[in-house]
Parts: sequence; C-alpha cells; structure tokens
Amino acid sequence: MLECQQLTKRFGERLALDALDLRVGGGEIFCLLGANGAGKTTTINLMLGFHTPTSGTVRVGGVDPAADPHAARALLAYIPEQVNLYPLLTGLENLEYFVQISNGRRYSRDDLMGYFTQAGLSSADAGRRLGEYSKGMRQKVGIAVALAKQAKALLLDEPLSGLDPKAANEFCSLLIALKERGTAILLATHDLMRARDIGARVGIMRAGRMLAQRDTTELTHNELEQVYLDLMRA
Amino acid sequence: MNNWMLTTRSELRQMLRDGRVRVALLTLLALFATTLAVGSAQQARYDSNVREAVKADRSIWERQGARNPHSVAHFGQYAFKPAGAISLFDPGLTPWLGTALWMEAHYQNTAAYRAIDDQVAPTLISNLSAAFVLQYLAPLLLIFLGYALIARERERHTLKLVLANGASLRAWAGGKFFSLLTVAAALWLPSLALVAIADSSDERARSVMLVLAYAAYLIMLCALTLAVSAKARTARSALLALLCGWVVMALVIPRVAAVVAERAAPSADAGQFWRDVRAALRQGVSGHDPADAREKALLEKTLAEYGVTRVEDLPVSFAGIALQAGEEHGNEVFDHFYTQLRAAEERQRTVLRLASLVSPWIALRGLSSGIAGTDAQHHSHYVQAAENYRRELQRYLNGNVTQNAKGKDSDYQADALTWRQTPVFSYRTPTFRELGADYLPDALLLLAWIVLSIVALTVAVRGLVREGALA
Ligand SMILES: Nc1ncnc2c1ncn2[C@@H]1O[C@H](COP(=O)(O)OP(=O)(O)OP(=O)(O)O)[C@@H](O)[C@H]1O
Ligand SMILES: [Mg+2]
Repeated sequence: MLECQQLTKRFGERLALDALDLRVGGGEIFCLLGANGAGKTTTINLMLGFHTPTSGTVRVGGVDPAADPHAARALLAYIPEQVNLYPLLTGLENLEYFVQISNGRRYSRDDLMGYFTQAGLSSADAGRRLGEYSKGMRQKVGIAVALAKQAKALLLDEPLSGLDPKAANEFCSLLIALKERGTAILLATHDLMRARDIGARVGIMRAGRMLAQRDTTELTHNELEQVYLDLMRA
Repeated sequence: MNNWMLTTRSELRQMLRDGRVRVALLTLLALFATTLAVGSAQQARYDSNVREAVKADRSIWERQGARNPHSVAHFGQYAFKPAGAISLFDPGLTPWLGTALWMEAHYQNTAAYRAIDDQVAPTLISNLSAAFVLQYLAPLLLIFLGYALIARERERHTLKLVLANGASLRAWAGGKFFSLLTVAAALWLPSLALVAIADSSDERARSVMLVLAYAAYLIMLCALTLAVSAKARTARSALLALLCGWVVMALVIPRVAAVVAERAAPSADAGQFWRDVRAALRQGVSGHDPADAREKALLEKTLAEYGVTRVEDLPVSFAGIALQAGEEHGNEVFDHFYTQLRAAEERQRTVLRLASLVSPWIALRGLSSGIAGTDAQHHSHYVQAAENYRRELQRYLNGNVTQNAKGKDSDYQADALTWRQTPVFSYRTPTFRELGADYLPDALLLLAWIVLSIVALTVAVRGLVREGALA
C-alpha cells in the first residue's frame, strides 16, 4: 500500500533521506523509529505529496503523490502530532468538514455519529466545541476522519507524544482495530514499548537512512531497546 | 456540496460563533442603516427647505412693487441647488461647496450656505454618511474578519491537514474568499434601499451604478485582505500589514495626493481671486482698458448707431445700455477667471487620478461622489447654470431700463407686475448619461484594482503550496 524505493530527499546540501526502502502492506503497522532529525517526518511528507523526491520513488496505492497528490491523499488519512482542528466548531462538525472536504460526499448525522463513537469518542461530546477537547480526544477525531473516509492507509507523525498512558493505550487499541480492518499504518514514534505492543514491524532510521527493520513479535522489549541503542551508537 | 461551499459554510459558522464578530458586524450594520435613514430624513428636510426657500424667495421677488430694475438687480435672488435623492449616500463636497448661489448684478458669486460654516467644529457624527461607513469602517471590519482566514490556518497547520485530506487548494481558498464576500455582501445589502427610493430613471441609473461601484470595491477589499493573509508569515503580521495598508492607502495617500495636486496646480486663494477680479473689472482683463475709456467708446458707438450726436436724442436709455455693457464686460472677466479656476481643478483631478494608482480609495471617492452628484463636476454644472440664469436676468432687467428709462434714469420705476415676468431659475441636475464618460477613468482604475487584487490573491494562494511550504 505504501512503498518507497531508494527514496532520497535533499534540502540544499542537507541529505534528509538517503535511499530509503520501505513497504507497508494493508493490515500492517510499521513504526518508524529514530532520533530527532532522522527523516521520519520527511518520509511522511513525501507520501502526502508535500515534498517531491530528489530521486527514487514513492507510491501510495500505486499512485505517485508528487504527480497526483489528490489521488494519493484520497487514499490516505494523516494524523500529526498536534491535531489542530477548528476550535469554534463542535467535534462532529469538524469530523463532517474534514470528511466532506476530502471526498465531497454527504454523510448523515447518524453515519457521522457512528464514526465518532467508533473512534472511541463519546456521543455526549459530539456537540461540544473542539476548543474544549483534550489532545487525546482531538487525535481520535483524526481517527474518526480516517474511518469515515475509509482511508486505505494511515500516516501518523508522533501521535502518542503528550498523551497520558491511558489515552495512549486507547489510541493504540484503535490503531490495532484499524489494522485489523486492513488499513496500512505508518507510525513515526519514539515509543519503543508501544511499537512492540501493537505488533508492528519497526524500521530504525538515522540521518536519513534505514539502518534496520525488525519484526517486533520476534523480540522482547529489552532486545528491541538494545537493538535500537546499538544502532544509534554505532 | 462542493469544497468551496463547505469551506464557506464552516467559515461563516465560525465567524458567527465568535461573539466579537457578532457585535462588530451588528454594530456596523446598525450604523450603516442609521446613516442611510438619517441621510434620507435630512435629504427630505433639505428638499422641503429648498422648496420653501425657493417659494419664499420668489414671492418676495415678485412683490417688490414698483421699483427701479437696477436696484432690483442688486437686490438679487438665490439659486438653490437641488440635491438628488442619492446625494444622501455620499454628500461628497457638498459641505464645502455650498448649496445656494446669491445672484446679483455685476458679480458672479461663489456658492454660499456651506455646511462647514455652520458647525462650531465639524464632528465625526455630523459628517457620518453611508459612503463614509463603507469607505472607512467596512474595510476595518473586513480586515478584522479576514486577516487570519488563511494565515492562522497555516500557522496552526490546519491547512496542511485540510490538504492532506484531499481538499483542493483552489476550492478551499475560494471558500474562504466567498465567506468574506458574504460578510461584505451583508454590509452592502442595505445600500440597495437606494435603488428602491430612486424616483427618476436617472436616479435609478445612478443608484445602480453606485451600488455596483461599492460592490466592486468590497470585492477588491476582500481579495486584498485575503491575499495579505495568504502571503503573511503569521496572522499577527497579516493584521499589522493590513492595518498599515489601510492607514496609508485610505488616509495618508489621499491627503498627500491632495496636497501634491494643490502644489501642482494651485487654485487661487479666495482673497487674491477677488482682488484680481476687481482689478480686471476696473482695468479690463488686459489691465489697459479702464472703465471710463470703455464707457466713452460705448457712448460714441451708440450715438453712431442711432445716428445722433447727443445722449438726449437717443430713443432709448443709455444708462440701460451702459449697464448691460458693464455686465457683459464683467461676464468676460468672470469667464476668464473662472475658466482658469476650472482648469486648475481639472489639472488637480488628473494628479489625483495618478495617485489612484497607489490608492484605490481616491478612485472610489471620485466615482462615488460623482455618481451621487455631489462632486466638483456636478457643482460646476450647477454654478454654470446659475450663472447663465443670472446673465439672462440681468439682460432682462437692463433691457427693461433701456426700453423704458429714457430721460428718467434712476428715477425710473418699473411696473409692479414686471417681476412676475422675469424668468425663473429651474435647475435640472445633469443625467449620468451626460456626465458619465467623465468618470470612466475612475471606473477603470477601480476595475484595475479589482483585477490586481484578485491576481495578488491567486499568486499568494499558489505560494501556499510551493514545494515544501507546508511540510
Ligand atoms: N523543509 C525543510 N527544509 C530544510 N531542511 C529540512 C526540512 N524538513 C526537514 N529538514 C531536515 O531534514 C532532516 C530530517 O528531518 P525530519 O523532520 O524528517 O526528521 P524527524 O525524523 O521527523 O525528526 P523529529 O523526531 O525531530 O521529528 C533534518 O535534518 C531536518 O533539519
Ligand atoms: Mg518529525
């Protein structure tokens, strides 16, 4: 579903991404791990078509996002670290706006409410203004958008940072539910433990290069941490 | 629903949920409606005052009894300037130019009854017109509502989220533009009352032109505001840039331009003007044509015409002929000086038009007061008509003296009924058709500004998604 081949991105002299190879299929969660500046966000931006590759290819469901960002984005849902929606609109209105703007379809209030609650939000909150939502609740609105637009792939850029443990756990359960529905999930995170818990494959990046890819189901927490630290040190 | 309608709806929803926006919008709407209502009431009062004054003036005129026509000529009459119904929208130069002319023998006066002379100090409220609200306050509201429309979304990364979800940038920005236009339209809507109250085909044409001009101007404001919002790095800098732009373009440049225009084509100072006029009346425009020599030549010419050698032998009153000749000499002098004055005004107007290239407010103000019939062009049309009438009246009165005063001179008294037969001043404001072409440059300048602002908006919006801008 998501595929990068020899993907390279330069910003002037700086090599942000260096011949990255990556594949995330439907029903799979892939975690990008790596220190600050490793190139995680750049990878996501390339998939969204906000950057054009310097060389190599990137494909979203077979579509080149640099050439046809519209088609690529129609397949994608994107959740940044800070989901800043419209504070003066209610949660449900935000959901409605973001879904309709992405595909132009009309949704009944019941449909929207269905996605809203599937994303782990309480229907009692649907009519509250988004300005009153916690960070975790806003992330969930993002998930509701992904559910409603039936995104084939979900791109998340450090969505867990700043969430309390309970909210983070809830959020991870939602990701697992999405994975089980066949969604391809690419998650940039610093959280090794949760990466393992959600049964993801992980890719460890440094300075724009993919140093290693591992299946976390084969590793314990400690082993994963060791691999990560060894690679960072090397 | 397509993208832009969705965005418009969502944007309006957010605006209306903001208490400050509601208050600002309602206040301005109320103010605008009030200025229209007050203006229309003042207009009605002015019209009935003028009607009464004209009637009273004429009835005093007609009841002068038996009098010498020349003292009647000195007694004079007023020529009142009628105000069209839409002048209430934009009083333009009316407060400075006056609304009535004192017409008397020998002098072409400038208009009197200037509103600014009656005020102890001109206050904002007394000068608050609908045009003022749209020209100066509406931009502030649109800036307040529009400065953050795009800048804030970029700042808070919602724009990235919107686009990442597959929204089309053009439709999204179009939706933003349309939401601001909707607010502008709400402000503009009450001005349609003007079209409704128009009571002649010319007034209707003018009021349609006027509301169209303001619609164009508001579209331009929305586009400019949004262009700056799209271009600025932050919402705060967008606000700052817009407010500075408003102060400079709406307030500073028009004043500077007026000063520059005055420098480029100085209009004579009133005192000097009348000193020059008096000198020319005495000495002729050339300064070498003294009055006594003129009168001597006139006498010789008249005697020769009638084939007599003495004044007493003339079949008519020479005093009447001399009065009319003096009047005609004066007319020449006035034509000379007023033509100069008008030429200076015209040169100033050209300078102002050049300044419109940097401030659309100048073009708008020219266009607005022109369509409303309250600018210098319309004023000079009225002045010209009043002057033509004054000349006609003087000719009539002097003719009466010439025919009847032989041998009696200033002892002659015309019949009490004479005054009823003198022509009546009836002034018709020129139709916009007659003067319209005069305003074409202003209309084109305003149009150029709309095109420019929409191009600026398009370019600024495209810039939002240049490679890496949103990453
Ligand atoms: N628009 C840009 N212009 C110039 N350099 C950039 C740009 N975006 C990213 N970079 C550089 O590319 C490199 C990779 O950045 P990126 O944001 O992808 O890292 P990251 O893995 O997401 O880091 P973090 O964990 O801090 O979010 C960094 O060196 C960064 O400075
Ligand atoms: Mg990042």
